Amino acid sequence: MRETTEHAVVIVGGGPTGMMLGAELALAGVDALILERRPDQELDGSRAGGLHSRAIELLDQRGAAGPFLAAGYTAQIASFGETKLDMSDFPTRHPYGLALWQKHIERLMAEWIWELGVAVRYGQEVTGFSQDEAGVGVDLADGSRLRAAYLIGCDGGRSAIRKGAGIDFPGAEATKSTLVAEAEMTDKSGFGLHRGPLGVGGIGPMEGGETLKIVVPEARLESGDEPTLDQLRDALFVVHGTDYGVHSPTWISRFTDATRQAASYREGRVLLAGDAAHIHSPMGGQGIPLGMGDAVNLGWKLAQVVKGTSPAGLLDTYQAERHPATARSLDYTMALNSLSRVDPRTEALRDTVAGVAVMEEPRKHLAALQSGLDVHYDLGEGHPLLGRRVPDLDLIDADGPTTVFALLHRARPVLLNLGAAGAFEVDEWTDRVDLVDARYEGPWELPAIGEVDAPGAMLIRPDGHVAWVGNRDDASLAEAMATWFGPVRDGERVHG
Amino acid sequence: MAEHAGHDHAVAIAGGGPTGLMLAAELALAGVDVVVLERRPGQDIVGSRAGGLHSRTLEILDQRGVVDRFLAEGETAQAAMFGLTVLDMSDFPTRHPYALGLWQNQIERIMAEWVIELGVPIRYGCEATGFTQDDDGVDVTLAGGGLRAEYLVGCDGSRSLVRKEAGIDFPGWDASTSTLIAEVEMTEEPEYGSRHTPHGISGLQPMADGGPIRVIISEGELGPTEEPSLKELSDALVSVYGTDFGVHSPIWISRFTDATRHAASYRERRVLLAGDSAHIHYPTGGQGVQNGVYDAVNLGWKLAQVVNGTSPESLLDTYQAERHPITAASLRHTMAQTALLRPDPRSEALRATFAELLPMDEPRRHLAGIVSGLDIRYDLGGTHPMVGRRMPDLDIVTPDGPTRVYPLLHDARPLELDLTDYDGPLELPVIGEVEVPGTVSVRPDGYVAWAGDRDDASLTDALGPASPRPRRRG
Repeated sequence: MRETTEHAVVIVGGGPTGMMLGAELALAGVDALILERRPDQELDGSRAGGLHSRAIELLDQRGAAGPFLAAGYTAQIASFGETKLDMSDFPTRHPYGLALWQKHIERLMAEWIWELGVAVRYGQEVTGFSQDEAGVGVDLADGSRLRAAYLIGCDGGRSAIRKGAGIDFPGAEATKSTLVAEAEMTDKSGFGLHRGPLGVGGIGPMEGGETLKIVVPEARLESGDEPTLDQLRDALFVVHGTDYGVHSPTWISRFTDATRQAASYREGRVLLAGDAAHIHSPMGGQGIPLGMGDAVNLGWKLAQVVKGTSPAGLLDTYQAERHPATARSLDYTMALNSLSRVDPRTEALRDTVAGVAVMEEPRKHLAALQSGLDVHYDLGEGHPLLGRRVPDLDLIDADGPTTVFALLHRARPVLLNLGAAGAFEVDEWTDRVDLVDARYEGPWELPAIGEVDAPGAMLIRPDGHVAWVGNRDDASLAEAMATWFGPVRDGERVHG
Repeated sequence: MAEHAGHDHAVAIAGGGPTGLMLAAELALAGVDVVVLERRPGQDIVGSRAGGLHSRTLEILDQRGVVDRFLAEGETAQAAMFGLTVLDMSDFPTRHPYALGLWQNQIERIMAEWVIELGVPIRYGCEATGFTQDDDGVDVTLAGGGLRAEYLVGCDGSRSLVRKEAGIDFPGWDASTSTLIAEVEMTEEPEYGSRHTPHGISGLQPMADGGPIRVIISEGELGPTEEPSLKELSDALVSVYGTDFGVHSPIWISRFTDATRHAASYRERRVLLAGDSAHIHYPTGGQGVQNGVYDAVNLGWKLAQVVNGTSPESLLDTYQAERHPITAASLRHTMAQTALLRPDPRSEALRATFAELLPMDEPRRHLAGIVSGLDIRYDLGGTHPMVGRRMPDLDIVTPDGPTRVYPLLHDARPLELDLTDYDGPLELPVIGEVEVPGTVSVRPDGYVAWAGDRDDASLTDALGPASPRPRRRG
């Protein structure tokens, strides 16, 4: 019998999704281990380059947005077709996107989770796993074996965990491929964005130095994620009539517009998050934000189940909420793919779409969709806040001025009472839910929806989504508390 | 009718479809001697063809006092669409905030009856096979002889002989997809309704109880330009449904494509083009008949004034100057929908995303304005928003009592309207409410040539020194 190490949760994959999940579990006091195949956090290329507004908010809810904002620059980055979707008038503290290469995002996240005490083991590859009723055994390439209550696959589009769990990955096949590279060029006359018969590409400088970022569509659909310099030269030649003397590549990769979503996010004690659960073209920049959204939705639920305060059934709400929200983002990305085609009829359609997208209401609708600020989990009928993200309002509580997001830093549920102080008690849930009496005088405005009625009180989940809105006399509060934060033990009840 | 030395008619119109008939009516109302030359033996068309008149076309027919004839035989509905989304325009400021569902053979029959009442000869079974033009007129070659006219207008469809003989270029975009359309009998009860296929949309619809079945079916590959056969239709049915439902006895089978072309010029001296002969496109959105009618009412009064000698020939240049850009936009709008309606998953995703925007007021009104034709604006200069746009059919009071504006346009003459005492709201489609001008000068086609205060000197310019004196009402 080989020696096994026990962890509550083993996360396979230390990219943005895996690290965000690690942080959420650590904040909830759950022992989580991240296994990363790479020898360290370094990425060989810059990869994706940005966070949309809701992803910045997710970091802000944990008090962790500062270093990210300091390392990148904010800009209006959302666009639909050729129409910029300016969201500077949105009711959020972060009405913009953050331009920041993935390698920097990962470095900053790694620093953050190191501070939180999350264990990361680099150079570790999972070769297999098996689950039983009590847990999951995980086999590593070095021959060692781990055991965990839950195994989470955050291991990317080709996820070994997804495949090992036998989870289907249906969707739309790739129709085109694009090479992306970081290399030098002797001839720099090709700088700029290029729209040609094969699609959109571009050549531009990176952060200082001689290295350029090169994106070039391929004439035929190719596969494989390790293209050669010759293939890059060929593709450049086809599109530009020259390869611009490209040389010294530090990284060459290929992406396609294949779009797939896992049929199930959970198989027993094995769950999927991020690219392991959904892939799509990078157009629209949905990848990292979707993975972070998964992690923040799953983290607190998994923590409660691991700690035994909630039944395992709570995990079903992860897929019930995230699958439709992500399907919508995948549709949006595919819509952008369709709109980026180069043919006379698509050009005509781009004109029509541009005429519509600049209008006030469509602009807000599309910007809210692309930025992730419109995510709405179906938690039933009621106040418009129900199922939506809580806005980061300026509050005054017993200790003085604060903000809603500051109340969420510890990733604990918050019952926010904006009515008469002392109207609520949560004594049976004191160990699970923070009760905050506060005052707020300003308007209630939601992205793309506009002004809504001021709620008397609301129950905010650790992921920042509102689970209940009402007043002290509503019996539905106890039901919501039990649904989301676990049933009360014998003899306990909620006081309205 | 005026005398025309050496001419059999002032104007010969090749083609008696909706465009040619509408043009004939306009010319007849202006007192011009016009003849319609139609290849078919009668007005009947084989097959039901396109069906529908959009709001602006209904208004145009209302301007001539004949819209009720059409309304009586069809059904009005919210049928302005973008892609698969209906754009409800019931809140539009028009007396006809809807489209009229009516098959083209009914449209043509009603139009032909009207044109005949107006005294226009329609020569059926009479195909123009060529022409030669000189400084004074056009000699038109007919199968059984010929005739001479001052002007020849080709309303002879997409394969226009007049356009080809005039050497007018027809540039545009080749077809990327083709669709079979047919009316047939079937021995088996087919699967009625529409179905999305990998190639596009197909649909089967009964025409009437026990009558023929209308089939529309997208082809996997671009079909040849020849008329399709029953075998091709059967193959297409099998590829979608796995059976051809025992298809037999076709009344007609045709093929349409998304080829989009636009005549480089609408006029070659004394020869002009209107309707499909000047522009072809995919039938999505139902713009074909409308664009032809808009051409006809734009050209009709101008050609009449030139023939009647009240305006110089250069007035005809405004026909292309006004219509070409409007039609070019309409063609692009149709092409946009062809892209949106592609059957692949990414186009489907774009449809879903875009469909979320279309019910919003601003996009809905914007696009419904385009589809309905109510947003057409000819660039006639001017500062008032009414200039270049259609005159709304306002309720007004004249010395003769209460009336509407459109009855004042029934005889297709220019109209100067004093609105000093008009106190009702003045709302334009898509634009919204605008200031009521003191006077509007309305062209026979219903478009406002000038709007402002009566003592403004620019009014005379708008009417032109050679224009007939408009009557003043209001």
